[in-house]
Amino acid sequence: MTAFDPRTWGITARLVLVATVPAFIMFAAVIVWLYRAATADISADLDERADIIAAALAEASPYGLASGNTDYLERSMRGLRRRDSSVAAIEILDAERRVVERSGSAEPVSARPPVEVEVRSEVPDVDIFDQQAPHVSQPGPAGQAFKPGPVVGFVRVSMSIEPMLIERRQRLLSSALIVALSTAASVFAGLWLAQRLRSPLRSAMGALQSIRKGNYDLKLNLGASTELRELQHAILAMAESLRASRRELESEVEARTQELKAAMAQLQSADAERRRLIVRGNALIEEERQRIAREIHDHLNAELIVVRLQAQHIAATAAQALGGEAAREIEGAAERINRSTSALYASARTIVRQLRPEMLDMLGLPGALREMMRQYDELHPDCRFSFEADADLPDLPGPLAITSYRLVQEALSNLVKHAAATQAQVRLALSADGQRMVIEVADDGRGFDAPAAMRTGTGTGIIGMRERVAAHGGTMAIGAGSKGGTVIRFELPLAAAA
Amino acid sequence: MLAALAATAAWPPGLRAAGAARPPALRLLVDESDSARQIGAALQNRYPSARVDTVVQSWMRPDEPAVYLAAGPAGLQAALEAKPPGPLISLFVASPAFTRALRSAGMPLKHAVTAIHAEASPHSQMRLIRQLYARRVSVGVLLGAATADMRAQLQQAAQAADLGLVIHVIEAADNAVRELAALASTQVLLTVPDPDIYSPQNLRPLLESTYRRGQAAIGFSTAMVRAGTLAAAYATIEDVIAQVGGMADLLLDGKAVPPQHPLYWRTMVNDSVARSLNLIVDSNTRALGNLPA
Repeated sequence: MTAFDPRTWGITARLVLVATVPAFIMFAAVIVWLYRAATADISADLDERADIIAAALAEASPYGLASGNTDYLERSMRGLRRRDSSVAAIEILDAERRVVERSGSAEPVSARPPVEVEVRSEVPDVDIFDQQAPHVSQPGPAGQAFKPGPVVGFVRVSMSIEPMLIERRQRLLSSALIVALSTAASVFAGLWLAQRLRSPLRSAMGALQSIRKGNYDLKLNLGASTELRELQHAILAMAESLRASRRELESEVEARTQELKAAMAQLQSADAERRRLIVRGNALIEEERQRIAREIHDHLNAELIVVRLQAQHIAATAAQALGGEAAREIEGAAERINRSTSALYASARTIVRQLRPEMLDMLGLPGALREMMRQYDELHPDCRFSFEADADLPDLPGPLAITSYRLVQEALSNLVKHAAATQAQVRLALSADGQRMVIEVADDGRGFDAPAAMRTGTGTGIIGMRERVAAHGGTMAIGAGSKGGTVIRFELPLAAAA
Repeated sequence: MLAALAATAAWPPGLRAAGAARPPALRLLVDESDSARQIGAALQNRYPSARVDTVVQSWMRPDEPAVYLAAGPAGLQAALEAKPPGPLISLFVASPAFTRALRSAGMPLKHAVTAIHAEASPHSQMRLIRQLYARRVSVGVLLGAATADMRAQLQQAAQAADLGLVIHVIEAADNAVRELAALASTQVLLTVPDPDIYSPQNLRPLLESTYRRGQAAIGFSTAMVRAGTLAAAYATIEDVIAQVGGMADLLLDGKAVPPQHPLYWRTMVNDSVARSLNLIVDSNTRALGNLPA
């Protein structure tokens, strides 16, 4: 049905329609007009002929009607009918409408009503000594001697349209043929003109399509028509203008691109610097933590051991030297000192472990993480913590290992605080291309709006993790697990670390 | 017969003697028509003492001797009904109409009634025919009941002009056009002012019929020539008026004056008809007639 929708017609179809439809409409109109004109002409012609014949016979009939000598009328009527086949019948009637003479069929031969004309006698318009006025004869010029008198009969002429229709049909066909040839010539001329018009229009369309595709190098065969030439000139001018605009735009884009590249380079440089600073900062932090841990381990713990030994020695000494109540009080105080010292020692060790995971140095990243999981499992019995690590993991350099350790540590810390999970799993693996370390921390907890959290960086934990990852040129992704909960995936390039 | 009937009414001799010192007046009764006015003017032009009236009461003067004139059929009818106290001359009435008027009057009149007919005499017409053809031709005449008594006159005229004559008398109910076929052998149709034959309805078919047969028709008036006859011998108003004086004198002398055709006449030819009949009309023919002094 789209073929009948004018909105879908192409320019060729429209031009063909413009070229042919008026010609066909004109053809139909001319044919209808010719037929109607021919019919009207025939009708008028028949009426006129009938009037003329009837009038002529009416002029000639008074003598025949008066004398009864109608032979000449019969000859006249026969002659008229012989010469004019459209005269179907002629009748001469007397004043009482009795048929005096007839030529042709008495039956109606046509739907056309017959033409009837009165036959009037002509009476003298002069004195023939039949009046009451004096009978005078005076010489003078000849004048109108007769005037119409009373009706003495009628002439009735019946015309048939068929003979004239047959006669005119041939003429009509000839006219129709001429009109058809003219129409065909008009159609061909229209199609030729349409073709002439279509070619430059298609050229113009092609030029516009080229412009749309960004090709401004156009070559158009200029049409003969002023309007088309103007259109083509306009298209060429538009193409040239677009070319200039494009060049200007490209220049501007190039300049902006260069500016952007410079800005990006500066940004990248700044980012690299920032990452280096972060790495450096983290390294310094770790070093400081390590120094503090070492100070605590080497000095504070040693002193606490000394204090505990001193307290034990005091208790033993007091028991030996004093005895009695005083010795028991001293032993009690020494025992309290010993317990406090032990508690301080345990706290110091915990601080030392947190400041400097010794396991990382001793067991490497997988072992340290496994130990961390074990500790979490002990500390948080509502959630089961598990760990997986590929067997062929390479030894990671210190910064990357401590970063990985801190990332898992921060992730588990957040998990414990917010996820309300019952299962947590940490997986350590290499990427498929072996270029990156992949760390996944998954849980079955309540989850959270990870994209928003990633976008806004809500919470210092996520910000800290992202900065740590970025410092090593890695990536961090937070998403939902296949069975709910949260999955945090870190990818850290090994090369950058190296 | 009618001529005799008219002549029997004698002019009283005493009346003529009483008016000897002064000629009796001519008193004309006319109607209001144009031709009647022309007649009156012509009468007074020729006879200055003549009186012209349109009213019967003023027209009749019993105390004065006069010859009464009546113009036209209407005038004659009125005059006959009024019974004028003197002789009456009918003017400008065709002979059949005059005869019919006298018959309508019925009883004999006290004074003479005579007429100068409107149409030229058969002698004049026959002379014209002879002049036109310059040879003996056969003349046909249709007569009706009103004109049947013209037979003798016609025969005398034809004989005098050395022309053949065929007379066909028709009845009033006959179709005059068809009856014309009885005269198919004649070369000339002489028409007579018989309204039963040459009626307004018949005139054109009759003329067409003669034309189809190649017959020449001779009319009885100039109007007939205009209507299509070849020629006519006719008398003008002045011709007829010129004749009145002589007739009045005779009547005053107590003589019987029968109705008569115009003494003075002239000829009119329709040249178109003459050409169609291949007749050459010479100047002598055109000048044929008898003009008053």
